[in-house]
Amino acid sequence: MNSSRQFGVLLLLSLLLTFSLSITSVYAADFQGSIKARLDTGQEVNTQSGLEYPDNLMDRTYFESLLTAEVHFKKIPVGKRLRLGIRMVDLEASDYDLNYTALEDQRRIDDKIYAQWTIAKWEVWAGDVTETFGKGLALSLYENRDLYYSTSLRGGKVSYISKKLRAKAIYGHSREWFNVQNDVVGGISLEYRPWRQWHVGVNLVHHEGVTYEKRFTPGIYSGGKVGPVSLYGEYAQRRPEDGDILAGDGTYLSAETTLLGVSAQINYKYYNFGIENPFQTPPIAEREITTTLLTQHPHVPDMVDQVGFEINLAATPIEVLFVDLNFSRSSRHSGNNPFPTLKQEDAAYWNFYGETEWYAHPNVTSKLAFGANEEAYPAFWQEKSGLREELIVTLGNLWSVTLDLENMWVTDRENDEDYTEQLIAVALAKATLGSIYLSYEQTGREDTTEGENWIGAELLFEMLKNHRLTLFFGQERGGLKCSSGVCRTVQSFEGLRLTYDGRF
Amino acid sequence: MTRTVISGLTATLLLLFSLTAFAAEAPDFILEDTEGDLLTLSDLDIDGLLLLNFWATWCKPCKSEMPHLQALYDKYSEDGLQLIMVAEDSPKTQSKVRPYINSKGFTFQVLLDPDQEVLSLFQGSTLPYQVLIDSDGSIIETHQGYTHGDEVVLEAKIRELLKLESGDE
Repeated sequence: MNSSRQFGVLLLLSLLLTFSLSITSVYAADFQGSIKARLDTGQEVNTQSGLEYPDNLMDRTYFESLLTAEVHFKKIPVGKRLRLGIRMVDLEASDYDLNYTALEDQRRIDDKIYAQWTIAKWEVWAGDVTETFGKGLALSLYENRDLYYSTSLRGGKVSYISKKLRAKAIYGHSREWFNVQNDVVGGISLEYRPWRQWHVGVNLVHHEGVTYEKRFTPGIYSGGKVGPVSLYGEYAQRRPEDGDILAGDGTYLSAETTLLGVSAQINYKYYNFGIENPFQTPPIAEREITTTLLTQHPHVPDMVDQVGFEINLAATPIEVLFVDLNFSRSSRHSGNNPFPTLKQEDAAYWNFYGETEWYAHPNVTSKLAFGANEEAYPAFWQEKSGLREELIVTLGNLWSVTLDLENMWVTDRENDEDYTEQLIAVALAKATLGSIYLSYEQTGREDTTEGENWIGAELLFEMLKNHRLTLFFGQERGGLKCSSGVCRTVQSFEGLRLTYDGRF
Repeated sequence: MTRTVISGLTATLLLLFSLTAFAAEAPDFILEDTEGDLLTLSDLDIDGLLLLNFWATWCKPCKSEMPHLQALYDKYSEDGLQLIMVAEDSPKTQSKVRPYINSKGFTFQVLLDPDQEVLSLFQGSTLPYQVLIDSDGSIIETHQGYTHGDEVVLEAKIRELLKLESGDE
């Protein structure tokens, strides 16, 4: 960069600083900000290479920095508050990311920009916006940075909220990114509350995409209480403008109650949307996070074609004991059958998970969990079960030791293979100072391209209350990482990772 | 060029934050609670101290922390401590919030922040996330994450801010 450009940049920054400090006093502005930075240096497994571990290791250097800055103006001529925000990103992807995933180097000053203007019961947003209508059957826009997933729109939205009426309107275009194309999405949602605990709403979304055809997605939802039972139901329909090809619909129903100290909940899903769409991510109606090892092998719900249900019971039968039981079943549709089948050709899946928390002593907590599931596809059939014991002992006021022991048994019926996996982890922590976490994980699975043992150590330092520095050294297992049904494959990593998370 | 600008802006903003960012006024918000009622922060009469705690049903450390927060609420609510838990579950897992609270017998108020807008308004990103707000509506302190023993530090802070003497058990 030549000297005149450098001078220009410095002048711009100086002006920005001077301007910001002056408006702080005039408009009673508050400044807030955060920084998240991560550096990986070491090696990662290349599962695409066709080589076996450790010959498939390749160098990994990865850097990511996210700086978010906001200013809130409280004394403005019209309205209650004006909030302006910007997020800058500096990302250097690893060689694997560049060659095999949608990740690429990014340096953007306006990775995210937004303005939020609050006027009485109205809110007006401009810039990068997210929104969910109902439970997300018609529209669900959100960002999950850990999965590099974002369906946020650059555009605007307006919302109104009162006791009787809620209204939202949104319009904008998405950015081409992991699993997301540059699409144009707009929608409105109206919700009316005739009584305190009852509401009924309608949604209408229009979507014009690169991959997906032009379409309308109308939907309706309602919820409320009947005696001690809370009910919710939502229906959305996909209506392509060009005809009935790839038309589809989805239904989600939920009921929950608490009787005699036992909370019971049933969720039901009937999704038949015809084509996958990242802007519609309805409830998955199954337990996603169970034991660490079972969660390493997640079930990926198929929103295009899935029917299923989930039952959850939770209670505190005595003061020192908490019990949580969950069962779910799902499969593809089998004709018009409203219930899931157990047939392999229908991609059948069932899952049971139960956990207890026992507060055995003021200084000792024991958490015992058991999970089991079975999943089948036309060329895949696995049964898994796992046991987890977590023991937390507090030593004095600020110190604690946590021991985590897990075992998982896997039967791969398709390949006629049985194996087990183990996890041992111990953490020593001191409140306000930080923690040391040591873990050992191993798999007995043969023909693995990711190795068989993973040993890691993580040090966490809490500095000045709002700043956390984490240093990881060792091996970290990869795999499929999922959140609310959105998944991304992460490669196993060996080396050093430094992360910093600070707020100002 | 872009990297230079980003680095320069980062340095400038850090300087700006260090000069102005503390003792900020808590931003106002409207959220719905688990019973469908609306709550506006500015309508709250904070007669002492308000503890806002952001959590989610999928967050293990959040769930480990919650019994301690309930105990602090039971102990200090008469001295002016208000506790509001803000659930960050998305609409996809939101239906699990009320059953979890009921099954645990928690009595504090729970608000729903399905799009995580209020969390971001308070600059939170990692759960659990705590914000202490005084009777003037100013943010006294924020804290992210939970380590066993944090509740001891939090209790000491609550006692200090509520101006309770050591004998006021």
